[in-house]
Amino acid sequence: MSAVVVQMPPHATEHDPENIPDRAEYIDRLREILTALEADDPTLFESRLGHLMRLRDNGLFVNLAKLTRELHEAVRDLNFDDRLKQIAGNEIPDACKRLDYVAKLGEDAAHRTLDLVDNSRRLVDSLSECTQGLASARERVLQDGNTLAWRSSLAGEVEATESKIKQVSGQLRAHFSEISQAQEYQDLSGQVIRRVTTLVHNIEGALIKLLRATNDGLKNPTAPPIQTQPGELAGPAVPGLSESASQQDADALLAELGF
Amino acid sequence: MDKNMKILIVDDFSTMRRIVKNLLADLGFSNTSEADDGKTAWPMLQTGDFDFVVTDWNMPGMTGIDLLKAIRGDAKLKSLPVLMVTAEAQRDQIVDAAKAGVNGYIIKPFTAATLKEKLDKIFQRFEAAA
Repeated sequence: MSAVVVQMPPHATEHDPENIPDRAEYIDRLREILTALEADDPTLFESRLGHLMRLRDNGLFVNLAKLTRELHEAVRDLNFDDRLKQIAGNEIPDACKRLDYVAKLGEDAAHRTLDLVDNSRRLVDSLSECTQGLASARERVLQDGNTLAWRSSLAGEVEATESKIKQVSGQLRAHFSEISQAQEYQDLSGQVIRRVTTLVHNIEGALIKLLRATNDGLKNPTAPPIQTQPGELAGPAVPGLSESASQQDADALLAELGF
Repeated sequence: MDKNMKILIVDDFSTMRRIVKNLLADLGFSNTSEADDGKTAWPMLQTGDFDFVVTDWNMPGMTGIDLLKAIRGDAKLKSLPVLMVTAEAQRDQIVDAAKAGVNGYIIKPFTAATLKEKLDKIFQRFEAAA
C-alpha cells in the first residue's frame, strides 16, 4: 500500500490539543468582523467571516491529516497492508463475480423450470382431451348394433388413445426429472455463497482488529456495523436476523387500519 | 368477478412475473400483461384500460409504492385496484402502503392460496361498493 498523502493547506501547523489553537489569530479575525459589523459594511463583513471560516477549516485539515497518518501507521504496524491489499484487490472483486454467477445460476434454473412447467401444462391439457375421447367411446359401446367392423374401429380409437396417454406420461416423467435436475444449481450456489460468507467473516475480523488497534476498542461491540440508511428498503426478511411481519401480521395490521 | 379482466403484472424479476402470471392463469385470469418497473408500467396503464394491477415494491427506475401513489394521484386511474406482492415486510412499510391506498398486501414468498384469498377479498369489496 502506498503512503497516504494529504495535501496540507498553507499556514497549517500542528496544535497543542490542550489550548485553543491559533488563539491570537482568532481574536484578530473576530475583531475585524466586529469592526465590519459596526461599520455596517456587508461586503467587508462577508470577506472577514470567510477568513475566520478558512482558519477553522485549516484546523480540521490538520486533524484529518493526523488521523489518516495514524491509521496508516497502525495498518502498517499490524502488517495488515498485504492482507487488506489482497482482500480489496482480489478477494472482493472475486466474490462479486461469484455472487453474480450465483444470481445467474438461480435465474437460469427458474426459467428452465418454468419452461418445463409450461410444457407440462400443455401435456396435461392433451390428457384431458384423451379422457373426452374415451368418454365418447364408452357411450358408443353401450349403443346397439355393434358390428364387427364398428367394434374394430372403436378398438383402434381406444388403442390410439392408449398410446397417446403412454407417450404423454413418458414426456411428463421426463419433464419431472428435468425439473428436479434443474434444482442442482442450488448445490453450486450454496457452495459459492458459503465461500463468500467466509470472506465476509475474514473482512469483519480484519476490520475489528483494525478498530481495536486504532481506537480504544469497540465502544459498543454489539451494535450492528451497518445501519440501514433512511429511505433504503429493508429487502427480504431473513429468519432470525430482521424483525419483520409475516403474512398473518400484515393481515392483522391492515385489518387494524380498516382494510 | 370478470375472469377476462385485464391485469398488469409489475416486477423487475422475469421469473416472478412468470410465476404470478401462471398462478393467475390457474385462477382463470389469462388476460395479463407484464412490465418490469413502475416507469414501464405507467404508460401502459395510461393507454391500456387495465382493471387490476399486481406490483412488486422494490424495483429500479420507479418503485411499486411510487407507482401506487402515481395511480392514486391520477384522475383517470385513481380507483384502480392495486395488490402489492413484495419481500418488504417491515411494519412501517405495510402502514406506508396502506396510507398510499393499497388494496391488498402479500409478503413474498407466498402461496397460490394467499393470492386467491387476497384477490377474492379485493373484488368482494369492489362488488359490495359498486
